[in-house]
Amino acid sequence: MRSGTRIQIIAGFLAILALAVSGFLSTSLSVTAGRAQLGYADRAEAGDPPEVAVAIALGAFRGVFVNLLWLRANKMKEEGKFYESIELARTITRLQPRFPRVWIFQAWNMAYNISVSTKTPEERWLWVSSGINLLRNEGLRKNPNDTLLHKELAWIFNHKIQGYADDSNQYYKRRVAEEWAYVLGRPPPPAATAEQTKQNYITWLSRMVEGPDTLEEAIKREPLVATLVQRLRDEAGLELNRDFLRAFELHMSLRESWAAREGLIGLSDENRNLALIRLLSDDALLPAWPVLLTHVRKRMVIDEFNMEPDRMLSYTRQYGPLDWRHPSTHALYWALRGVDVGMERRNTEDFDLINTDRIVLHAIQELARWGDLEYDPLTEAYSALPNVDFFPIYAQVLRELEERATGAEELGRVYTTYAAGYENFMRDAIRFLYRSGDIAKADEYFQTLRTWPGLNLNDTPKLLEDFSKPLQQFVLDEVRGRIDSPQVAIQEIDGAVQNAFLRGLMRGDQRVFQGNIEYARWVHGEYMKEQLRRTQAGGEMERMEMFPRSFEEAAAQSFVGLLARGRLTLDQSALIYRRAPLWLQQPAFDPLREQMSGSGGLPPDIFERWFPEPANMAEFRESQRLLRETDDRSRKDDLEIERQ
Amino acid sequence: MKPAEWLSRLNRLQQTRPFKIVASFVIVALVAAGIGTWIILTRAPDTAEAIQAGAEAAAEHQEALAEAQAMMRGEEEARGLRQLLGASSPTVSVSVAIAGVGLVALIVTWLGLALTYLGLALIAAVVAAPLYAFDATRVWGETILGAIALTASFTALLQALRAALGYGHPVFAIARNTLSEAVRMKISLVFIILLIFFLAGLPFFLDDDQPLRYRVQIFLQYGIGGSFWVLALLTVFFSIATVAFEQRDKVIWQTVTKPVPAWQYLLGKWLGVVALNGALLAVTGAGVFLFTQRLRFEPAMGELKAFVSEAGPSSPSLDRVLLESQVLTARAASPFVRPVIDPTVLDGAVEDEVRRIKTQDPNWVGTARDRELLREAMVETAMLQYRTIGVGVGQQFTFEGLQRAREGGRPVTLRYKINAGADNPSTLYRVFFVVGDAVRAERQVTLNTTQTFELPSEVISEDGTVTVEVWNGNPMTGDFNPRPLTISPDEFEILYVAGGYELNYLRILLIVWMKLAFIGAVGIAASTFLSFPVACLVTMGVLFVAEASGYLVESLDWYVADTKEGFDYVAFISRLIAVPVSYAFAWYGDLDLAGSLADGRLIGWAPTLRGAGLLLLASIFILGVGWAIFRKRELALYSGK
Repeated sequence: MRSGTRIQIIAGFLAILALAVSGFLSTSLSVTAGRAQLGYADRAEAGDPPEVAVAIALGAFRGVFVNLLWLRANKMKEEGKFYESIELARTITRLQPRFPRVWIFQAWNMAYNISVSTKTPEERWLWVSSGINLLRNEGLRKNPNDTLLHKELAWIFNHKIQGYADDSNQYYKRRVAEEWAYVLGRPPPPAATAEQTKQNYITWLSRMVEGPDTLEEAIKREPLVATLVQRLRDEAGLELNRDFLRAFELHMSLRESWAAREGLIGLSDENRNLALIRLLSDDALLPAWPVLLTHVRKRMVIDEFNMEPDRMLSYTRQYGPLDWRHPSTHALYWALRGVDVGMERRNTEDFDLINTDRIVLHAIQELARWGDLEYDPLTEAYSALPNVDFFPIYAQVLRELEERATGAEELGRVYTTYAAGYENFMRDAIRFLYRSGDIAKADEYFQTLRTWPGLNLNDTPKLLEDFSKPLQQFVLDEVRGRIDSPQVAIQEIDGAVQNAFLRGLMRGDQRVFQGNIEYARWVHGEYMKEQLRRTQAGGEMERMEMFPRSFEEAAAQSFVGLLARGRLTLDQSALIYRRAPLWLQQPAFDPLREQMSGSGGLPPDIFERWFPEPANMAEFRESQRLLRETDDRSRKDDLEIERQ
Repeated sequence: MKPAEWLSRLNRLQQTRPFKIVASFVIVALVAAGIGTWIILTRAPDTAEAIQAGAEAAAEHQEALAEAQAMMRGEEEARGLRQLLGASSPTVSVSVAIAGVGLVALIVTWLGLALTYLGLALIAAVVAAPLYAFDATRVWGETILGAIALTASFTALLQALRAALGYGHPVFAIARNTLSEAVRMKISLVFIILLIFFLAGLPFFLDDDQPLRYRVQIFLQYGIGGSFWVLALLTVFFSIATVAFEQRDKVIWQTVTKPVPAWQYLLGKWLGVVALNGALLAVTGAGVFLFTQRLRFEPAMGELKAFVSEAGPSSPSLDRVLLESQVLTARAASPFVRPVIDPTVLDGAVEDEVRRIKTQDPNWVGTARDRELLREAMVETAMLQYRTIGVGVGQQFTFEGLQRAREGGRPVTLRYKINAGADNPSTLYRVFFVVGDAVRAERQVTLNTTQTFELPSEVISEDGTVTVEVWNGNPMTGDFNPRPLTISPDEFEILYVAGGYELNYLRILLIVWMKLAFIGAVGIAASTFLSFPVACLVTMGVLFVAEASGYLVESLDWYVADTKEGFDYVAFISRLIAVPVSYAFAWYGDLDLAGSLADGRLIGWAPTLRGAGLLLLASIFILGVGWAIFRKRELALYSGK
């Protein structure tokens, strides 16, 4: 046999062997990739965007090309050349849509880097919301069970929007509240108990969940819907979209607004829709409204926000009265969803799940701290206060997460971060509940904390000392330890007083108002007892007396500060003022008028309409004048006596 | 007769002198008729008023636009723009426009392209215009119209170049033939068509949701960058094909036996390739420039229409301001002044350190090299300390050489990047700036990302210096950051407008042209002794390494053989090859300028001419190598293979 022929035979044999091995390997690889849902596409289908075809055409070079793009995108980002960084990242998302990191990179660029370089809150929000929409509506649609994407989306909600690092965070919070106030409408008010509140939320949300999926179904359920839709289009010029929900909510808010009833506010021309008002007042169409609204809301949640109504309801059942106007609710939703869908893909070294669990915890913590939300789309009035309904949920979640994180932090350790976080949270909760006058609940939490088996044991003597005290002593010592410094004392008193106004007066909860006022009065008294000094050199001002000796005066100062500082809207301020007792209104009236209707402020007649003069003001002013004179004279007499 | 034969006949017809003369008369007659008709219309009672009103409205709009533009670009430009406007009657301006079109038509006719242009106009009218008329197909219509315009320009330019190379010298004759070959060869035709459609279609990939300045930057970056790559690939394949195929097909025998010396042959080929690239670059450059201008007159973010802000005339949109002042401009940079270290103090510190080391290790010798390394390390540490600002502390930095910026009266831009800790991407740091007496401002910044900060020209002192105090946190409010921060040295500079972007653009095109000339020289040199596929491989390799040399040099700093896991032999061998190669092309990598154009950074004449000169020298050197090989080749032996 000639050598050439021999070589050909050997080469042919090797080629057949290589083909056989390749066939076997590629089959097994395809099976593995399919099982792990790693493949995106291996052929272009009709209706696929053109980039799919390009990506497939690139074949094995796609990865190399994407690497080059990725390196350049990162470099451009560091150089501040966002224009190119965004385009490159966008190209990568088209070529490799199953590459989660590039979606995150793109979203981060928008929500963090570019947003901060803009000048106005409006522009900043544009970029932050673009980053959110990119992850939520595009990245997650292409990677529906990637935990990392869920975690990053939850992080943006919890950190960028709910957090306070960004100067424009208040603007972001309002925009989220506004968006969801339109989409879902106002949630039910708090009930007498947490369980009742939760039940009300479940009922409220269930209506949307059970709403019709299509317009045809809606019409089938209630034939008047067809008429209503037609009239909305023809008369009100409204299609079934966000604008419709917005117009509806604004008009409903107008109906419910006390300030509107008193003629103090109204809708602007561009927002007022007379045709819509007529339709809302038409009794014949009454049955159609709830059916249509639930349908439109449901479609918006699914189509525009890529969320699952069933899941929203399920999380509400599990975690409590979730207010979807709150950013941390969305953080919670996406974090939980990330954990749920990612559980099947979990490996022992995957820290995504643990990090996502921590976001769940932080989200609930934020809901506990600031989850009691009030938002009026008419006036953009926004306030966020602690929500005690989430206190027990925090503990429950903490225990669940502790079990899941046994790989990261083993049970049996003397100190764990989860336990430390839980203890701190419970101490704050006990103090808060006591301050609010809910002594029974405070005691319940106190008992729970002191008997919890998971407590850290790294400082047992202090634990024993703290938990052997009665509740009042425990709270007092917690506070005392903090009010040596005047600044902290001011914060504690001011915090309680502000809580009294916002949660008490504004919500019409007298119990909360009284509880907080009494607490603040008590702290004020304790502070004055411990810290008050009279000095010769001081004269009018005693050493360390940084605020008025009289609690009423201190409370009134805080009251005026809250109303006039601009933190509240005019109608909120007026509501709180009108509900305040006389002993607060009287000392607050004159300084409030001075601050709010001074130059550039409200005209005097407008001020009088919003903030009517309290009764017996003349007598009050006279008594104050006498008090001031007496105080001065007695001080000077004291000093004279001492000198003598 | 077949269509190809018809086209060939028509082409020959349009080249003949009688045709050109007759066509010229026709054009002149049409221009005269057009101007006459317009004058009559403007004088006629029923049309004159309407025309005047229309012209006044247009002039008013122009003036408002110019005023707004002027506000963006400063007083100096305002004066120029107002002067440019001037006042002209509609009769004169339209007549001048008609005459201008006529002049262009005459030039095209005498270039022998009259019928070609008529044909293109017919395609535009029959194919592109109907597509443009409907919303659904407008994109295609615009693309085709754009492609037609680019094709027309390229055709005219090519013809002009062929005419310019019409001298009797062999070099020019070869160059002229090479140009003709370019439009005959399929390999180059494909790239030319690709280039035309790439440019025509690029605008449609811009995302309208992005700020206008981003769109302009992308268009400039990819317009020039993308065109360069298409032209580079065209140059590679065409420059090699034009020499390799002539050798293979024995066509070269007819040339070299004339006789034409080897160097003239190669030079002629190279000149032809350079001329082709020049024509294509002129067309693409003009196309990119004109579309950029068009983009400029689209509404920016926050505008109702171009230069009309939603917030009113006194609050121009940020997007527009940044576009006009930071992108479509040419800015020079003034880096911060490094502190001077007293050499005697430094020497003393070095000696102290030497003594300290010797105390710990008596065997340590402490050579001059060791001392030099210690000196470098100490200087680096001192510089780092200078740029590191502790929590709640401020540090002063000086920038010099800004007299020109002060005279210009336009805002300047402070560019900076801060690092802290592990540069957590979700952390925001507060940085407080005190600049002269005029500026006290806090900025929230992300870490490890370049930021900019606009400053008024009033902060520049009479001697052209700016003093910037940078605080870690806000001393006014007491909000401080958790860690010290460090200012990155390379990104800490003040940028000021030093010229218009138009000249900048021209300089960058010059550099791109010279880069293509270099690639052409490599291709021609390689094809003197290598077959077509091998020459392509070699030239492509040179192209990619040269273009990636900047990245390679940076990456090789991190890709070392000595690692924690042990000695990496693969890295060692790779570095043996990669390091010399990347450093050999480092000078080329520094000439990546499309990014500078998009960032509005000035490329001065000195660096431009230096870069162009280097590329030209390199080209000549490579051609010289090719000539040395080529003159020794026995073409009779190698041809036909």
